[in-house]
Amino acid sequence: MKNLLKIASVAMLAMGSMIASESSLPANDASGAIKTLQSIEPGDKPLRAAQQAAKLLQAQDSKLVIDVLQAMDQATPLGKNWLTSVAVSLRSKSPGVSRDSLEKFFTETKHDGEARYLVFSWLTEGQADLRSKMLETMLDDSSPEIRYAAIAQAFERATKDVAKEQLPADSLKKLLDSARHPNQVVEIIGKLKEAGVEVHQANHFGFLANWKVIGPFDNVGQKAFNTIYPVESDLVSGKFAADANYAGKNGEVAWKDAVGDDTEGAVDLNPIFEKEKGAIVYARTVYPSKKAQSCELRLDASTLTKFGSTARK
Amino acid sequence: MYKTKLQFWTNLIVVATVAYSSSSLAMADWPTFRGPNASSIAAKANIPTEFSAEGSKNIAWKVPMPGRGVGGAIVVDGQVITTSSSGIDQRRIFVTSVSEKDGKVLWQQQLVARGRPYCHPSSANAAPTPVTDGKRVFAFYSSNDLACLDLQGNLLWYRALAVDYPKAGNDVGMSSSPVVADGVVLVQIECQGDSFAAGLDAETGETLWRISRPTQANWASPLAAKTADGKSLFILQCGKSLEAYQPTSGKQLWATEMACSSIPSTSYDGNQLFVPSKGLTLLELGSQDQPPKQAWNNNKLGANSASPIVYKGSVYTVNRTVLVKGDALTGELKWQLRLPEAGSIWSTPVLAGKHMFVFTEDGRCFVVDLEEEGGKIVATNALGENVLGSPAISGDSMFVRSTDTLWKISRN
Repeated sequence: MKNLLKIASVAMLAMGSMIASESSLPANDASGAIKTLQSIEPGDKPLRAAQQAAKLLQAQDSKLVIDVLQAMDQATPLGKNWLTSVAVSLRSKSPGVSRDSLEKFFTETKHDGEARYLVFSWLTEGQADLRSKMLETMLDDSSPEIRYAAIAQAFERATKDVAKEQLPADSLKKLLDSARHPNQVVEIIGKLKEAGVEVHQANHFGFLANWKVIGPFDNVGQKAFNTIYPVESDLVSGKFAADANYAGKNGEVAWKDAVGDDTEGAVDLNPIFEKEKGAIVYARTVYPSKKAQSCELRLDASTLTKFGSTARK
Repeated sequence: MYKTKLQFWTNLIVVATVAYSSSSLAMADWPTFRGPNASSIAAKANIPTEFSAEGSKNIAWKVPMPGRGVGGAIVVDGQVITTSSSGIDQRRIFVTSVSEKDGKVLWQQQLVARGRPYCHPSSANAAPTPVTDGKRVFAFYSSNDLACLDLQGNLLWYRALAVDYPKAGNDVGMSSSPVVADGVVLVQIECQGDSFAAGLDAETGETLWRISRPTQANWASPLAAKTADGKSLFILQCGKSLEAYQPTSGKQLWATEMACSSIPSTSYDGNQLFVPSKGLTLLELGSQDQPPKQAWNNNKLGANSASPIVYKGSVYTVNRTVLVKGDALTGELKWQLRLPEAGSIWSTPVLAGKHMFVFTEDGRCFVVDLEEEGGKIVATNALGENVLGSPAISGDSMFVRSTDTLWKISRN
């Protein structure tokens, strides 16, 4: 009988070992698991490794929460979600995360905004007054979510049940300086207008609305996309001349003014070029910047297939 | 003798392991959108016909949710589980589990949506109803984020399907609820961009198969059905056709050309499919790979948003503010009952005993006695909050997800 029990035990241990060896992470490699989750990319391939890593971390205790949150600083967007979920799971376990450590993490604004917002929600859970008080000081917080909540609170306080004549224009202007989300910006500008203060929305967002455009140049069948037309050579070499003429698709063409005068500063090329198809057009604007910085170009078209850009210092 | 006894013990270990695995599947009272078999029916449930937010009459508990939600709740393992979305553009997405018994929040998981979360103001990013296979919960969002959790709220896997397929999205909002069968989770993502349906491995989240779908907005949900001989089918409807797929392989079993609605979803009863198409159309299923045959069609049995319900030989639909009853066998219109000043009705009703509970968008509930000739409204109740999601039933309790709150309605 003893021999049979020994054999059964060995069999069960063998089965247990077989199951354990399917994981490629060592049983206690929490930092390896965190690194795995930090780098998760889209698609199917990373899933099994992510699952194993999450499972390993979920089995740890709550002492790991801050490490997991810190890891979000260097994580991919999908990785941040995996890490968020692990942090949430761990936080509910014993011995719990100290409020001091959460507050320390939260006050370090270098950390990932989503992680800080999560911690903010924990710190203020069930404490509406504390939440309100903290938000009062966070209009310029580095976390978009925290900033959004702070501005929403301040905006409501400034405008709820307030007659037009009594809208606090100065406070609203300060809020506008802090606001980044388009919805909030539009709301604040709307209230400022009621208070008699006009704000151009496109200017607020820093959209460059004054352009010079020229064309059309032939691009029927997309054949000329990589053609360097003389106007482009001149632009790249700095030989821009506002009164220059070039041979275009339908005859000689010259630079024209194009101004985006709607709320988003968008320039509509269609009326300027009479909805020309199979064509290349060039647009030029100048923004004097004190330092090198990136800018964003946005195109909205149902038929556009490609565009290119050059920037000159 | 040694070998025989070793075999005995090995077999015992294997049997014990299998028995443990089976018993770890929790009881799911209301596992999916429209409940067991997507029927919207809890025939034996005794739900109070009168309840009210004011005075908490027959309101056992109500729990504020962390955000907005327009999907329904599911019930599994004594937990009532629902989704929410809040924050900037409703990007913060939550799965909340509440104790069925006392309304205590058992766990809450959260992520940040990586797809497009935008939707009509009446909707929410948390629009689809989650689904469970008894050991996992699959929570899906309009942003095409899909999370799989265990019943303790731990994330098992996560897919940002709009990152994998960047043109998948609809800024009016998407709402098709996922279904699960044979270890496969089906998501139906139909829109004017990347339009597809995909079967994912329920255990790992890996894509088992993916099929292109028409590039047209579609808010209807797929159906996980069984043929009369017990074989599983995934049924997908769209503006051009009704199609059946084998869950594990994604093999198309049949396709029938028909213009199906893009909002109310197909229901089934035994081997009959009640399809919201040109009013309502009954198709009779044959074997798994045989196209169904049309038995009848009646354009007076149409529904605008809620899905049809089939019960005791009758079929019920909601056409704007009118509850309609038809004969399930013949398609004959039996009666129509106006729900006075009902306004908009998005939620598919539920049926408990002889009563149907129809929730309006503004949170009123018409309770209709179906056994009365012509149907009779026996009560009109008010929760005071918008309701777009369909209720869930477990035991003698009804769980309603209003836009900001989860409610348990049962006798005080």
